[in-house]
Amino acid sequence: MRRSESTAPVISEDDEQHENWMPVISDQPETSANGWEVDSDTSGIMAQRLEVRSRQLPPLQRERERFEVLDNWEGVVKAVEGDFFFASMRHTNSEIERAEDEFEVHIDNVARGDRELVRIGAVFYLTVGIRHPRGEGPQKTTQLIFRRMPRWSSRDIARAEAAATELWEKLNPGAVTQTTESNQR
Amino acid sequence: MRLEATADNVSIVLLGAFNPKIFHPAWLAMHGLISPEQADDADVVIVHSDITQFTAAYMTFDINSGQFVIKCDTIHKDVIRDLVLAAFGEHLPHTPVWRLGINRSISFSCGSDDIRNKFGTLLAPKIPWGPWGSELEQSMSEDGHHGGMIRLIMRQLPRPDGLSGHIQADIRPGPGERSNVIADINNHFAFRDADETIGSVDAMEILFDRWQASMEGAENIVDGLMATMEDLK
Repeated sequence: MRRSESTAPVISEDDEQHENWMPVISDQPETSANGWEVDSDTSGIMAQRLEVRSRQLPPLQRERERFEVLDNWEGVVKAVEGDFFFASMRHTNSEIERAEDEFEVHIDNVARGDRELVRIGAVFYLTVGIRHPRGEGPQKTTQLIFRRMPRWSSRDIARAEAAATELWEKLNPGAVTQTTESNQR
Repeated sequence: MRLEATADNVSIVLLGAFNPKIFHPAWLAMHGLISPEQADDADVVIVHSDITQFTAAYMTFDINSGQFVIKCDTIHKDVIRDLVLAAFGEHLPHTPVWRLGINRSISFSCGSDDIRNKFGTLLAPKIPWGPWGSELEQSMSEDGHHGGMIRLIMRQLPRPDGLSGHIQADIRPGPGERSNVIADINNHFAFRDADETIGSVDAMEILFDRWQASMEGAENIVDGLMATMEDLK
C-alpha cells in the first residue's frame, strides 16, 4: 500500500463529535454546504477510507468536556517571593494591543507539577472559563498553564545570531561593509 | 477574524519513522515535557509497538510507525509547538521526519442555513454541472433534504515563503447547526525523500520558524471566507 504523503489531519476536531471509531466515513460531513443531509456515501472513496478507519480505536475513556472561555491572559513571571509570584499579564482578548497589568499570584493557584516552572521569565496562560462536564452542571473555573518552552540548542543560537546579523546588515549596510572590511584587514 | 470562531483547533502532523512505544505519558514526564501529575492523569487508550494513543496535559497523541499526530485540547495552541520542539529537538533529534503539517481547523457560523446555501453555491456553482446541476438547484428550493457542495479543497503551490510544500484549505459543512462551516487549513512542508532523511532537525527548524506565520495565515484564509460569506447577507 502506498504511504500517504498528506500532513492534513484525517478528520478535524469538530468531526470527532461523530463516533469515529466506527467503520464509517467520519470525515464526510453530515450536511451539505448548500444542502440538508447527506447521510451515506456510495463512492469508491468510502472503501478506501474503511481500510484506514478500521485501524481506529475506541475513543478515549474520558469524554472531552466542553470548556467555554470567558477571559484569557498571557503572563510573564517578573519576580518570585515566598509563596507568591509577581507577573506582568496581557489580556489576550483585549482590543488594546498592549493592555498589560501587574498581578500577584499565590503559588497555590499553580498545579503542583508545574511549580518548578515558576521562575523569572516563565510564560504562562491564565484562562477563566466554564467547564461543562458530562452529566454535571456548568462549573466556573480558572486554568493556569505554564509553558514548557524548549531549550535553545547551540544550533538555534547560531541561527538566531545569523538572522540578527542579516537584519542588522539590512538596516546598516554601510556599517557592515566597514566592519567586514576592517575584519578582512 | 471578523467573526468569532465557534471552534478553533490546532494539530501538528509529522511523517517519518517513529517508535510508537516510547511515546508514553511517563516518558514525557521523565523528560519534563509534561508534569508527573499530568502523566498520572493521562487517559491512555493504547501504548504498543505499532500504535500509541493517549490524552495528557491538554494534548491528544496519536502515533504509529509512519505518523506522529498531536492535537491541542486547549485554546493555548503553543503548548503543542513547545512539546514537539522539545521532544524531537532535544530528545529525539535522530528520528527521521520528512514531512511536517501545521494544521488549524476553524469553524464558524454563517448565521442561517440560507446563507450557507448561498455560500456553497458561490464556492461551487451548479451551472458547470449541466442538467444535473439544474436538478441540484431545483432540489434546493424544496424544503427538507437536498444536495449541494459537501467538500472543496484548494491548494496553493508553490508556497509563498519559497519553502517546499503547499498550503491547502479544505472547506465543508460543519456538524450540528445547519449554518456551520469548517475550514481545515494545512500548512504542509516537505524536506527530503524518506530514504535521504537523517533526523528531525529540518522539520524542527521549520516548525520553529513557520509556526506563527502558519497560525496567522490560516486565520487570514478563513477571514477571507468569512468576508465573502458576509457579503451574501
